[in-house]
Amino acid sequence: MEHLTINSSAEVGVGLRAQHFKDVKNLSIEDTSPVAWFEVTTENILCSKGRGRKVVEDLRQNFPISLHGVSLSIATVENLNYDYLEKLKRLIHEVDPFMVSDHLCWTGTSKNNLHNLLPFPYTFENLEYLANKVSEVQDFLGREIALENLSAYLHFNENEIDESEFLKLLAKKSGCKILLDVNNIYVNSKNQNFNPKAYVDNIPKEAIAEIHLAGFTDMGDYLFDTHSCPVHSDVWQLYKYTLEQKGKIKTLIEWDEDIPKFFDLVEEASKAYSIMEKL
Amino acid sequence: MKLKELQTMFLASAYKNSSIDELEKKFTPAGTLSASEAMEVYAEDYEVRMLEALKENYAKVYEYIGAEKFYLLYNDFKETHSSSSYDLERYGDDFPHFIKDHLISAKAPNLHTLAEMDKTFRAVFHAPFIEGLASQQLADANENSIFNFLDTLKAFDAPVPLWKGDYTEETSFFFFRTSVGVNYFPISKTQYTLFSHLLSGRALGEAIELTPEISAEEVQQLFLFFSSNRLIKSLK
Repeated sequence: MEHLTINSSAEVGVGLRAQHFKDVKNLSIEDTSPVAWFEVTTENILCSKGRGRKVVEDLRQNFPISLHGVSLSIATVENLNYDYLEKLKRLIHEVDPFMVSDHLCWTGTSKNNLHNLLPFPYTFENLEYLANKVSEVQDFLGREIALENLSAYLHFNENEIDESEFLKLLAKKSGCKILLDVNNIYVNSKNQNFNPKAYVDNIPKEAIAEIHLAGFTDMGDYLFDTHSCPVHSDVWQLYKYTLEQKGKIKTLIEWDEDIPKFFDLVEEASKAYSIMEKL
Repeated sequence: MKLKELQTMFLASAYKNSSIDELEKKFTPAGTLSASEAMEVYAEDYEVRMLEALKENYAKVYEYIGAEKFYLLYNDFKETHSSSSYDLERYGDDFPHFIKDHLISAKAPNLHTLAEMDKTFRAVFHAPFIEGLASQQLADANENSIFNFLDTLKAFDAPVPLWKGDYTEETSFFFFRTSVGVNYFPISKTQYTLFSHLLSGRALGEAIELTPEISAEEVQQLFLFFSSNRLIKSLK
């Protein structure tokens, strides 16, 4: 099984979006410093040989690429979707990403996909169930995957452990890595009233493959993970705390709604780079 | 509660945006939301996501009927069509057929054709870019030649202008994949007829005989288009 290289080269990346295809067309690493890699949403190119796929094929000549999916639905009660996994395996072969990741969630069923990242109870029974499924995925793909903690707008009363413990144990049991979304930790800490630093403290450094940062929207009653604005100052603080505790970790800036100019996205990446460099 | 039971209830609640007491007793909502409001976050997100997907997948239908009517159409569509694929591009695969049987077709009888065009456009958009034969490789073509065209060349004969137009005149056109996207090329009705015969495997001479109204200039223009854009896969 191919293993992820963790923290060996802590660099900052950005999510590739169609709005920036023209901007990235002739980029080299020197042009975009501090952007050292790009994350591609798996599903955007999984079933397409269109322009997006061509852009990724060109971009990977100059930049490392990671594939980040939203449809693995690892926590669904249904069996794994091998049609999806076959396509993912083929895509991995074609794109040769340095990392393959998805989310610790379910998205629906084969007959009714909500196309959303949905929460489930953190019980020991579900932990065993997921550990087996993650292993099945990794065996099929022949490589480790990383799973991301999600933003949730509810948490189940039957939780037997908290999310950070669930992630930690899942990584230990299955050998998967953790994609630590610091914005999601912050959003959930406000929505569910817990200490975000304690969450970070509980995640072992060696299990973290990457960090995600994004912007949220304050809806009044709750914080909503919109990825539609700059990273909040409190999230930058939590990011700084995370790096101070864990060391340099590859970090990605996500921006999915109200997408800014590429230069502005690079500016946001520069902030992460600057925090990382000051360690 | 077993995971299966919980996920079944969660889906039912989010999909229909309806409260399920048994489910709402099982969780603590975020912030100061009520349990029903927390589920509404998921229900509304689903609504927005699927409407947006259908709008993107059927961009010309949306443009033609406008936001309000499109929303009503979506509302009817979603009642019987959930998303069964991980690929949002697949949402609405049955939309043209749905439109054809919908009341809206009484007032807009060509709307389903417009939807078919949107669907074809997307298929061409996501297809790989392949170059067919170059001009010099077509030099030996004659009236007995049978042409095999690239799958990324699609012809449309629409009762209304479906692509770039004001929807008031009849039109026929090609979609074809280029290295950077999808291009459009208008053709006459007779050129469309000739192409249909060629596509069905008839030799050039026979196809021209079956299209007696076509002029030599129109044939020439059509083949100049095919060769300059390298749209012929092979010929025999």
